Amino acid sequence: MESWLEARGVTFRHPRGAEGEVGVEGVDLAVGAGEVVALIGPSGGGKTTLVRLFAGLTRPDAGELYLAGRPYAELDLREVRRRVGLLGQVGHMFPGTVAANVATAARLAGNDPAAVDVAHWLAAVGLDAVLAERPAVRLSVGQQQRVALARLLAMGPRWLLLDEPTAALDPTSSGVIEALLARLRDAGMGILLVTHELDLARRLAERVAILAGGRVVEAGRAESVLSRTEDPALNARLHGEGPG
Amino acid sequence: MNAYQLAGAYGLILLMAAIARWRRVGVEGDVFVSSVRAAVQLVLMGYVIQWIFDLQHTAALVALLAAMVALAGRISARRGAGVERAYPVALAAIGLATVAIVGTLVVLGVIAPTGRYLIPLGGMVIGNTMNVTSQTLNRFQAEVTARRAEVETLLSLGASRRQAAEGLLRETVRAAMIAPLDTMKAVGLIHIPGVTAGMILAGTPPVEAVRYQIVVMYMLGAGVTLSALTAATLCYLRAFTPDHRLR
Repeated sequence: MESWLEARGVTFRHPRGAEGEVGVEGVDLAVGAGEVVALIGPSGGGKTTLVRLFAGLTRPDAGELYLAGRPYAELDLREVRRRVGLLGQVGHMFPGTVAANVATAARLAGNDPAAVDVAHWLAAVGLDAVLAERPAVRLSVGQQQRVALARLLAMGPRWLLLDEPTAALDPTSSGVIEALLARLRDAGMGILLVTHELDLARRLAERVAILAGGRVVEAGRAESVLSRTEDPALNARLHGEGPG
Repeated sequence: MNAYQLAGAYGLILLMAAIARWRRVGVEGDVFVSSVRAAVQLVLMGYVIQWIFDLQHTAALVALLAAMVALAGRISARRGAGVERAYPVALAAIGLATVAIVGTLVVLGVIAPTGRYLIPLGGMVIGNTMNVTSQTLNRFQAEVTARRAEVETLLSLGASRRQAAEGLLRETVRAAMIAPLDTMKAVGLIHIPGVTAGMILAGTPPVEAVRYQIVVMYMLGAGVTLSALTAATLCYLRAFTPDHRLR
């Protein structure tokens, strides 16, 4: 259990009318060190809600999240978030330079931002170190997303929660991020990857879970689940049709 | 001022109503009704103020101020739609500022604890802090909505709730304080404030009237700052959980 990020029987219901999403209902899901778990399924099926629960941004109504065998309720959520990094479709850039953005976690933790090796983290996401002194908000969307990932990695997490990280990106940026994720996985990082791109899931993930109507309706080895995409029953689940 | 002079002043209103009717702009009815209403309200206010001045019990004056604070809190809370339990927040912000400012003036001996001073000055503090509290509640909610992504990104990067809220608290208080700060900057240059104008009309030498006005401006400046900070802090404590989540 030491190397797992886990949801056990997690339920969260959005307050009535708050979001038009179903929330999640009794979800069991674990992400081990050094593996990519792809979370796929129809829009509004609860994927983002589950990611927010794992990130400690939302508290479950029932069930519990566990980090390395310890329930979130017993942990300092700030520490959980430092170990479980979150990146959405578009990483928000703070005013200031790229370097300042990359050093955000260090600054927030009370460490010296100047001690962060910005060039190293920019190189890790395929960006040139000359960008370090540029205003972050002036970069292209693709560059901003890579800076957001560099900022996340500079925090030193052991797990990554990635909510459609390449959805808004050009092919070049997508390719760089995919290659980086593969390297991180091989180096022992646990990654929960929300994606609509089945090919990306096929290339990166060991395991796949389909979340529809807030429930995990299918889970298993990636090659096993994704080889049946022509199966009408599985297809219905992927697109949120039928009882799942 | 005698009855003829009063009637002469009212003649101006009747003349304007007649011109409005002649020009067919359709406001003569409103002008007439409003002028009668204003006269009735002011006469009633005169009696109420006289009654207040006659009140000898400090407890009754304090109860009156408390009722004014409660009403101001109710009005202000309507601006805080979306802020969880906006009424207690507004009540605390306005009440704390009123107690602190009026209390300080009484303790320092600047004003006597009588109706003649407590009610008009207390009313000024309550009215001004109500406006700033309304602005604070309204702005805080708008900032939380507009900056949710920024705040949650900071939390995701290990920020405490205080660190994550820093930007929106700063912006909320700054925006709420624009109008009162501008008023303080412009006083005496662009407008003659109410206290000075009233005292000069009542025969007080201008320099003496200005000394009172300075006290009032400082009092209101401190009051609105305290109410903005209190309201913003309470909004923040309600918007974030102790374990660093944005509700």
